[in-house]
Amino acid sequence: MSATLLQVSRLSIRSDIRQRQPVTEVSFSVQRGEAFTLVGETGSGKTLVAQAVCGNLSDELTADGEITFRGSDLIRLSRRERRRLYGRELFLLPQEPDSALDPVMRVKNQVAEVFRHVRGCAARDLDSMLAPLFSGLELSLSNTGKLYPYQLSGGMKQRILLAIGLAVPAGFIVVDEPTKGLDEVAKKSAVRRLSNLLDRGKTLLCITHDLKVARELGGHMAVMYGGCIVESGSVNQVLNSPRHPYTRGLIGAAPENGMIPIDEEILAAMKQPEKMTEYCIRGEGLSKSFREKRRNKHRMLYRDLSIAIRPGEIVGLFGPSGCGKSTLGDILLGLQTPDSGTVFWNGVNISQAGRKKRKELRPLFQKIHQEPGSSFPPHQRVAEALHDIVQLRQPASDHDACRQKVTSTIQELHLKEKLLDRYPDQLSGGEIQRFSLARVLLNNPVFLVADEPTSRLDYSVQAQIIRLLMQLAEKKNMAVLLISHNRALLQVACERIVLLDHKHPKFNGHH
Amino acid sequence: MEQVVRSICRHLFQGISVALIVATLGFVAVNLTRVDTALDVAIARYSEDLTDAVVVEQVRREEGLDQPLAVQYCQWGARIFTFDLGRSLVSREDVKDLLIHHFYYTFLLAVTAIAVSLLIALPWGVLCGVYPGGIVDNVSSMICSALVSVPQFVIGLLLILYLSIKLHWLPVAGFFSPAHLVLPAITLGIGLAAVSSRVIATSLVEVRSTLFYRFGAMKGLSPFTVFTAHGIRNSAIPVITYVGVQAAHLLDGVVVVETLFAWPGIGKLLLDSVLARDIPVIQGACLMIGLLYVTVNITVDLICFVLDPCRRNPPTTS
Repeated sequence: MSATLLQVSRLSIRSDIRQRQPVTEVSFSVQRGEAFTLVGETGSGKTLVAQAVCGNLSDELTADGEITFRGSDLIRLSRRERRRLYGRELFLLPQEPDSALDPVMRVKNQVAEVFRHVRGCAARDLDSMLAPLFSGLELSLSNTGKLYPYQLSGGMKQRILLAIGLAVPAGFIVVDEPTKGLDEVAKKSAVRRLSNLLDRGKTLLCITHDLKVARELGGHMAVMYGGCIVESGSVNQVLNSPRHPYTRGLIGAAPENGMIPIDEEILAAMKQPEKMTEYCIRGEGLSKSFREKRRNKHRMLYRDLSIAIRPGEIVGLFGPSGCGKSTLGDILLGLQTPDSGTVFWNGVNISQAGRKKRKELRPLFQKIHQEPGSSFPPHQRVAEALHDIVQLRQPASDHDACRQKVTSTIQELHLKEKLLDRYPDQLSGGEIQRFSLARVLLNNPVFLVADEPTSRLDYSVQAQIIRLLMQLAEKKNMAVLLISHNRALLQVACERIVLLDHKHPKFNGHH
Repeated sequence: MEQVVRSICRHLFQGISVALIVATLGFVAVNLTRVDTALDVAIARYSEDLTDAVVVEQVRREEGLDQPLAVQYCQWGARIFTFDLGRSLVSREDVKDLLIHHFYYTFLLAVTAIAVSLLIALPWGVLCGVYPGGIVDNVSSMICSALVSVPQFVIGLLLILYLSIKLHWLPVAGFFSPAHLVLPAITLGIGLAAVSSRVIATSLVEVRSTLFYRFGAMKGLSPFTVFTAHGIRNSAIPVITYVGVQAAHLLDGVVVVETLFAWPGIGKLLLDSVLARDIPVIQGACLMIGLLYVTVNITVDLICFVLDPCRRNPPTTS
C-alpha cells in the first residue's frame, strides 16, 4: 500500500568548470513511511544526491534528470518555491548540532518557533505542544528547555535537533551521515532516534557509509560507487544476498566481517567516475616576443605555439634558460598576455570571458614557484597563511573547520601537523615546497604550473616531491605543466614533453 | 553572574587607575613646559595689559603656585578623596560645577550624534549585509571610505554653508535651542554612520552564513522571521561593542566639532584650560574622562552579557 513519495530518475550532477561528472544517471524511489538508505564510500557522490534533493548543491554544480517529489520536479523549482517546501514538506536534519543551533536563543524557543511560525500555533498553546515532544525525547522542558546550546552536551543538542525534526510538519526528512564521528554507543542511540522518526510516520532518506545504519533502519537501500548506483533493493535482499561484487566487498570490509579490503580487481572493473576528456587548458597559436632594450630589437620567444593538456595529465616543458618557459606558464595562467594567440580555460576563451567568469575560474588555475618560500608571508606562521586560503574560498568556515581542512590536506602531502606552527624560514626546502603545494591544493585546482619546483632541492627530496606531484595529478584529476631544465626528470614524470628553443622558434612543439 | 561582577570590578579598577594616572600625567606635562604658570593664569584672568610682576606674584601666592610641585600634587590628591576638585585658577569657579555644566552639553551632543548615526547606519548596514557584493554594497563601501577620509570640519563647514547660510534652516553655532544641536550632531553622526554601517553589514554577512541561520529556512521560517529571530541578536553583539567605543570617544569631547559650532562641551573646556594652564580643570577633566570610559565599558559589557549567554559563563573547554 506504500506509495512513492520521492522519485529520482536519471539524476546526473556535473561541474562545468571542473569538467567532471561526480554523479551519473542515478535512479531510485523512496516509499512513503519507509527509510531509504544510500550507502557508499567517501567520494561516491551520495552526499551530492542528498544536496540535489534538498536544493543546496553548490553553485558550480548542475543537476540533470528529474527529482519528482509530490508532483513537482525539485531540480526545476525556483528558490522561492523550494523555500516554501522547506519545513512543510521537506526537511534536512543537520548533523552538526554545535553549529545548527542558535547560540543566543534558549533551545526551547528554537523548537517553539516551528510551532509558532510554521504551524501557526498560538503563543499560549506552545508549552502544551512542546511538553510531550520534550518528554518523548527524555528532555525536561522546564529545565533543559531554558538552557542555551552551550550549556548542553552533544547528545542533548542532537536530541533538540531531533525535536525540531519531529516538530516540523514535513513528512520527508533527509539525514546526511547521522553516525559520522560517533562511538558505538552513540551510534546506536542516534540510529534509535532515527527509527523514532520512522515510527511517527515520517519518511527518511539516509546517507551513510555504515551498512549497519541501513540494517537498523530497514526499508530499501542503494549502494553507490563512483557516482553510480551499483545495486539497490530491499535492505534484506541487498545485505543478505548481495549480487554485485562491490556490495559483497563492502560487507566483507566491515570490522565485524573481518575487515577484508575490497579486491582491487573488482574496483578496477567498475565504471570510474565519469571524466570529461576535454582539454582543461589549451593555448592556440601563441606568440611572444620581448624587446631587448640595449639593441632595441625584438626577440621572438616562440611563434604559433599550441599546447593542450587534459585533466590528470602531466606535460613537461623543457628548454634552456631564458627561452620563455616561465613566460609560457604565465601566459597559460592568464598572468601575461601573449602577442597573439588564445588561451582557453575549460574551453572558455579567457581574453573574452567576462570578469565574473574569470573570477570564478581563477582559483582553479594555480602555480607553484621555484622559490616556494616566496609564496608565504615571512612573519606569519604557515598555519595562518593556509587558514586564510580556506577562509577565502569558503568564507563561512569557522576556525575548527579551517584547521581540519588544512590538516587533512597537509597529511595527504606527508607533512606533520606540528610543522604548521612554524614560520616559513624554520622549514626545510622540501617541507616548504610541500606546504606551497598544500597552499595550491586548498584551491582545488584543475591546472597547475609547477615552475622548476625542485631545482633548489637535493635529489632525494626532489624525487619525493615529483612522485607526490604525480600521485596528486592522478588522484585529483589535475593537469600539470612541469617546467624544468632537467630532461631526465621530465622523462620520468611526464607523459609528453614540449620543447622550447628560441633559436629555432619554429621547431617548438611536442616531442 | 559571577563573570559579570568580576568583569565590572576589573573595569572599575582599571578605569580608576587609568583616570588617576592620566590626571597625574596632565599635571606633570603642564609643569614640564617651563613656562611660568602664574603668568599665564594672570594673563587669562586680567588680560595682558593689566598684568605686571606684582599681579603675577599675587596670583602665585593666592593659588599656592609658589609651593613645590610635590606639595601641589599631594594637596590635589588629598582633596579628590573628599570629591573636591578645587577651583579654576582663571575663573575661580568650582571645577566640579564647571565639569558638570560642560559634561551636560557633551552628553547631549554624544547621545544625539549616536542616535543620528544609528538612524543612518542601521537601514544602510542591513541593506548591505543582506545583499553583500551587490551594487548597493559596493557603492556604499565607496561612499563610506570617502566619508571616513574627509575631515569632520569639512563636513561641518559644508553643512553650515548649505543648511545655515544658504537655506537659513538652522543656526550656525551656539547652544541656545534644540535647533543648535542639529548641525553638530549630523556632522558627527555621518562620520560615525560610515563606519558602523560597515560593521553592521560585515557582522550580518557573517551571521547569515552560519549553519543555524540557514537551518532557520530549512525549518520553514520565512526570511523575515529568520532575520528577526536569529539575525538581529547575533549580529548585534559586535555592533554594540563598536558603538560603545564610539560613545566613549564622543564623551571625552570632540574638540574640532565643538570648536567649530561653539558648543560648550568637555573638549572645548579642556582646550581652553590647556591654553590658560588652568591645572585644576585639566586634572579634573582628565579624571572625569577616565571615569566616563569605565562607565561606557561597563555598560557595553552589561549589554553584551544580556545579549550573549555564552559570555555569562564561558565553557571551560579551551
